[in-house]
Amino acid sequence: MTDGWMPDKDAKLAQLLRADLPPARDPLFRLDVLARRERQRFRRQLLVALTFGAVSDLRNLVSPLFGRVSQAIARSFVD
Amino acid sequence: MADDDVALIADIRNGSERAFNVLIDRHQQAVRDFLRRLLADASEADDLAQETFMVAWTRPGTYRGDASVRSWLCAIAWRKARGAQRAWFRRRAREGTWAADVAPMVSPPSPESVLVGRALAALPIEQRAAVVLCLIHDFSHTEAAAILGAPLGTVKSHVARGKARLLAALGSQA
Repeated sequence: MTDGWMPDKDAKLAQLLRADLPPARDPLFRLDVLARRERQRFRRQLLVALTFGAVSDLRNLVSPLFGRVSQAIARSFVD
Repeated sequence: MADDDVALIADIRNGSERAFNVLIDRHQQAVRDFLRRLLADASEADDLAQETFMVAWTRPGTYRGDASVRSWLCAIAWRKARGAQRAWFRRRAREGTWAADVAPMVSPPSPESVLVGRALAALPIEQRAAVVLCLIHDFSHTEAAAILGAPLGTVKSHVARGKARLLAALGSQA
Protein backbone atom coordinates (compact mmCIF):
# COMPACT_ATOMS: atom_id res chain seq x y z
CA MET A 1 0.00 0.00 0.00
CA THR A 2 2.98 2.33 0.48
CA ASP A 3 4.65 4.09 -2.43
CA GLY A 4 8.06 3.83 -0.87
CA TRP A 5 8.95 7.49 -1.31
CA MET A 6 7.74 8.75 2.04
CA PRO A 7 7.38 5.80 4.39
CA ASP A 8 7.31 8.06 7.47
CA LYS A 9 4.46 10.13 6.08
CA ASP A 10 2.61 7.02 4.93
CA ALA A 11 2.92 5.51 8.38
CA LYS A 12 1.83 8.74 10.00
CA LEU A 13 -1.13 9.03 7.64
CA ALA A 14 -2.23 5.48 8.41
CA GLN A 15 -1.86 6.17 12.13
CA LEU A 16 -3.92 9.37 11.92
CA LEU A 17 -6.63 7.72 9.84
CA ARG A 18 -6.94 4.87 12.33
CA ALA A 19 -6.94 7.15 15.36
CA ASP A 20 -10.70 7.56 15.63
CA LEU A 21 -11.95 4.07 14.80
CA PRO A 22 -15.05 2.91 16.67
CA PRO A 23 -14.25 0.49 19.52
CA ALA A 24 -13.17 -3.00 18.48
CA ARG A 25 -15.76 -4.45 20.85
CA ASP A 26 -19.04 -2.69 21.43
CA PRO A 27 -21.70 -4.78 23.19
CA LEU A 28 -24.10 -1.83 23.06
CA PHE A 29 -24.03 -1.80 19.29
CA ARG A 30 -24.71 -5.55 19.24
CA LEU A 31 -27.64 -5.04 21.61
CA ASP A 32 -28.98 -2.30 19.33
CA VAL A 33 -28.90 -4.68 16.36
CA LEU A 34 -30.61 -7.45 18.35
CA ALA A 35 -33.25 -5.03 19.65
CA ARG A 36 -33.89 -3.85 16.10
CA ARG A 37 -34.28 -7.46 14.96
CA GLU A 38 -36.78 -8.15 17.75
CA ARG A 39 -38.77 -5.02 16.87
CA GLN A 40 -38.87 -6.13 13.24
CA ARG A 41 -39.96 -9.63 14.29
CA PHE A 42 -42.68 -8.17 16.55
CA ARG A 43 -43.96 -5.88 13.79
CA ARG A 44 -44.14 -8.82 11.39
CA GLN A 45 -46.03 -10.98 13.90
CA LEU A 46 -48.36 -8.10 14.70
CA LEU A 47 -49.06 -7.58 11.01
CA VAL A 48 -49.85 -11.27 10.54
CA ALA A 49 -52.13 -11.27 13.61
CA LEU A 50 -53.93 -8.12 12.47
CA THR A 51 -54.39 -9.53 8.96
CA PHE A 52 -55.85 -12.78 10.33
CA GLY A 53 -58.09 -10.80 12.68
CA ALA A 54 -59.32 -8.57 9.87
CA VAL A 55 -60.01 -11.55 7.60
CA SER A 56 -61.82 -13.33 10.41
CA ASP A 57 -63.94 -10.22 11.20
CA LEU A 58 -64.78 -9.80 7.55
CA ARG A 59 -65.82 -13.45 7.31
CA ASN A 60 -68.03 -13.10 10.41
CA LEU A 61 -69.58 -10.00 8.92
CA VAL A 62 -70.17 -11.41 5.48
CA SER A 63 -71.21 -15.02 6.22
CA PRO A 64 -74.61 -14.19 7.87
CA LEU A 65 -75.31 -11.94 4.91
CA PHE A 66 -74.51 -14.79 2.52
CA GLY A 67 -76.71 -17.08 4.60
CA ARG A 68 -79.66 -14.72 4.34
CA VAL A 69 -79.17 -14.19 0.62
CA SER A 70 -78.95 -17.92 -0.07
CA GLN A 71 -82.06 -18.55 2.09
CA ALA A 72 -83.94 -15.88 0.14
CA ILE A 73 -82.88 -17.43 -3.16
CA ALA A 74 -83.90 -20.91 -1.95
CA ARG A 75 -87.28 -19.58 -0.74
CA SER A 76 -87.90 -17.90 -4.12
CA PHE A 77 -87.37 -21.27 -5.83
CA VAL A 78 -89.74 -23.02 -3.44
CA ASP A 79 -92.41 -20.34 -3.86
CA MET B 1 -10.77 -16.08 10.17
CA ALA B 2 -12.12 -16.18 6.59
CA ASP B 3 -13.12 -19.87 6.78
CA ASP B 4 -14.47 -19.23 10.23
CA ASP B 5 -16.59 -16.38 8.85
CA VAL B 6 -18.01 -18.61 6.12
CA ALA B 7 -18.94 -21.15 8.81
CA LEU B 8 -20.64 -18.33 10.72
CA ILE B 9 -22.77 -17.47 7.69
CA ALA B 10 -23.71 -21.15 7.32
CA ASP B 11 -24.76 -21.19 10.98
CA ILE B 12 -26.74 -17.96 10.56
CA ARG B 13 -28.61 -19.61 7.67
CA ASN B 14 -29.62 -22.25 10.19
CA GLY B 15 -30.83 -19.55 12.56
CA SER B 16 -27.90 -19.56 14.99
CA GLU B 17 -28.13 -16.62 17.41
CA ARG B 18 -24.59 -17.25 18.65
CA ALA B 19 -23.16 -17.03 15.13
CA PHE B 20 -25.00 -13.76 14.52
CA ASN B 21 -23.60 -12.29 17.74
CA VAL B 22 -20.08 -13.31 16.80
CA LEU B 23 -20.50 -11.87 13.30
CA ILE B 24 -21.57 -8.51 14.73
CA ASP B 25 -18.75 -8.42 17.28
CA ARG B 26 -16.18 -9.34 14.66
CA HIS B 27 -17.14 -6.87 11.93
CA GLN B 28 -18.97 -3.97 13.58
CA GLN B 29 -15.86 -1.83 13.81
CA ALA B 30 -15.08 -2.00 10.08
CA VAL B 31 -18.69 -1.56 8.94
CA ARG B 32 -19.39 1.33 11.31
CA ASP B 33 -16.13 3.11 10.56
CA PHE B 34 -16.70 2.75 6.80
CA LEU B 35 -20.19 4.23 7.08
CA ARG B 36 -19.17 6.96 9.52
CA ARG B 37 -16.58 8.22 7.08
CA LEU B 38 -19.07 8.22 4.23
CA LEU B 39 -22.00 9.93 5.94
CA ALA B 40 -22.29 13.26 7.71
CA ASP B 41 -24.19 11.92 10.69
CA ALA B 42 -22.74 9.35 13.11
CA SER B 43 -26.13 8.18 14.33
CA GLU B 44 -27.33 7.73 10.74
CA ALA B 45 -24.14 5.80 10.00
CA ASP B 46 -24.74 3.50 12.99
CA ASP B 47 -28.35 3.11 11.94
CA LEU B 48 -27.24 1.94 8.50
CA ALA B 49 -24.64 -0.33 10.10
CA GLN B 50 -27.48 -1.96 12.08
CA GLU B 51 -29.47 -2.36 8.86
CA THR B 52 -26.41 -3.92 7.23
CA PHE B 53 -26.29 -6.60 9.93
CA MET B 54 -30.06 -7.07 9.63
CA VAL B 55 -29.49 -7.99 5.98
CA ALA B 56 -26.87 -10.50 7.12
CA TRP B 57 -29.50 -12.02 9.43
CA THR B 58 -32.48 -11.98 7.08
CA ARG B 59 -30.70 -12.73 3.80
CA PRO B 60 -27.51 -14.71 4.53
CA GLY B 61 -28.14 -16.53 1.24
CA THR B 62 -26.97 -13.44 -0.65
CA TYR B 63 -23.42 -14.26 0.46
CA ARG B 64 -22.08 -16.22 -2.49
CA GLY B 65 -18.71 -17.12 -1.02
CA ASP B 66 -16.67 -15.45 -3.78
CA ALA B 67 -15.32 -12.76 -1.42
CA SER B 68 -14.66 -12.39 2.29
CA VAL B 69 -17.62 -11.94 4.61
CA ARG B 70 -16.27 -8.52 5.58
CA SER B 71 -16.24 -7.51 1.89
CA TRP B 72 -19.83 -8.70 1.55
CA LEU B 73 -20.89 -6.65 4.60
CA CYS B 74 -19.04 -3.57 3.34
CA ALA B 75 -20.69 -3.96 -0.09
CA ILE B 76 -24.13 -3.98 1.61
CA ALA B 77 -23.08 -0.95 3.68
CA TRP B 78 -21.86 0.85 0.54
CA ARG B 79 -25.22 0.37 -1.22
CA LYS B 80 -27.02 1.65 1.85
CA ALA B 81 -24.70 4.66 2.10
CA ARG B 82 -25.28 5.55 -1.55
CA GLY B 83 -29.03 5.31 -1.02
CA ALA B 84 -28.80 7.50 2.09
CA GLN B 85 -26.64 10.00 0.24
CA ARG B 86 -29.16 10.24 -2.62
CA ALA B 87 -31.97 10.73 -0.08
CA TRP B 88 -29.92 13.43 1.62
CA PHE B 89 -29.40 15.29 -1.66
CA ARG B 90 -33.14 15.03 -2.45
CA ARG B 91 -34.02 16.31 1.03
CA ARG B 92 -31.57 19.18 0.74
CA ALA B 93 -32.92 20.12 -2.68
CA ARG B 94 -36.51 19.99 -1.40
CA GLU B 95 -35.83 21.98 1.75
CA GLY B 96 -33.46 24.38 0.01
CA THR B 97 -31.11 24.29 2.96
CA TRP B 98 -27.44 23.51 2.92
CA ALA B 99 -26.29 21.46 5.84
CA ALA B 100 -22.71 21.47 7.01
CA ASP B 101 -20.41 19.52 4.74
CA VAL B 102 -19.57 15.90 5.40
CA ALA B 103 -17.25 15.64 8.36
CA PRO B 104 -15.91 12.85 10.52
CA MET B 105 -18.12 12.12 13.50
CA VAL B 106 -15.77 11.43 16.37
CA SER B 107 -13.88 14.48 17.53
CA PRO B 108 -10.29 13.91 16.45
CA PRO B 109 -7.60 14.10 19.09
CA SER B 110 -4.97 16.27 17.36
CA PRO B 111 -4.74 19.18 14.89
CA GLU B 112 -3.14 16.81 12.37
CA SER B 113 -6.11 14.47 12.70
CA VAL B 114 -8.41 17.42 12.10
CA LEU B 115 -6.54 18.27 8.90
CA VAL B 116 -6.52 14.69 7.63
CA GLY B 117 -10.14 14.24 8.66
CA ARG B 118 -11.15 17.38 6.78
CA ALA B 119 -9.15 16.36 3.73
CA LEU B 120 -10.78 12.91 3.81
CA ALA B 121 -14.25 14.42 4.22
CA ALA B 122 -13.61 16.72 1.26
CA LEU B 123 -12.92 13.81 -1.10
CA PRO B 124 -15.75 12.74 -3.44
CA ILE B 125 -17.64 9.83 -1.89
CA GLU B 126 -16.32 7.16 -4.29
CA GLN B 127 -12.73 8.29 -3.71
CA ARG B 128 -13.32 8.47 0.05
CA ALA B 129 -14.80 4.99 0.09
CA ALA B 130 -11.81 3.58 -1.80
CA VAL B 131 -9.35 5.33 0.52
CA VAL B 132 -11.16 4.15 3.66
CA LEU B 133 -11.33 0.55 2.46
CA CYS B 134 -7.71 0.33 1.27
CA LEU B 135 -5.80 2.61 3.63
CA ILE B 136 -7.73 2.09 6.86
CA HIS B 137 -9.25 -1.36 6.59
CA ASP B 138 -6.51 -3.02 4.53
CA PHE B 139 -8.68 -4.30 1.71
CA SER B 140 -6.79 -4.95 -1.51
CA HIS B 141 -7.62 -2.83 -4.55
CA THR B 142 -9.36 -5.85 -6.09
CA GLU B 143 -11.51 -6.37 -3.00
CA ALA B 144 -12.38 -2.66 -2.85
CA ALA B 145 -13.34 -2.73 -6.53
CA ALA B 146 -15.70 -5.64 -5.86
CA ILE B 147 -17.22 -3.91 -2.83
CA LEU B 148 -17.77 -0.62 -4.65
CA GLY B 149 -18.83 -2.27 -7.91
CA ALA B 150 -16.20 -0.17 -9.72
CA PRO B 151 -13.45 -1.07 -12.21
CA LEU B 152 -10.09 -1.97 -10.65
CA GLY B 153 -8.29 0.86 -12.47
CA THR B 154 -10.77 3.40 -11.15
CA VAL B 155 -10.29 2.21 -7.58
CA LYS B 156 -6.48 2.32 -7.93
CA SER B 157 -6.74 5.85 -9.23
CA HIS B 158 -9.13 6.87 -6.43
CA VAL B 159 -6.76 5.52 -3.79
CA ALA B 160 -3.69 7.14 -5.34
CA ARG B 161 -5.37 10.53 -5.75
CA GLY B 162 -7.04 10.39 -2.37
CA LYS B 163 -3.82 9.47 -0.65
CA ALA B 164 -1.97 12.28 -2.43
CA ARG B 165 -4.55 14.78 -1.19
CA LEU B 166 -4.36 13.47 2.36
CA LEU B 167 -0.55 13.61 2.30
CA ALA B 168 -0.72 17.12 0.89
CA ALA B 169 -2.98 18.13 3.76
CA LEU B 170 -0.55 16.55 6.19
CA GLY B 171 2.38 18.24 4.41
CA SER B 172 0.78 21.65 4.64
CA GLN B 173 0.80 21.22 8.41
CA ALA B 174 4.51 20.33 8.56
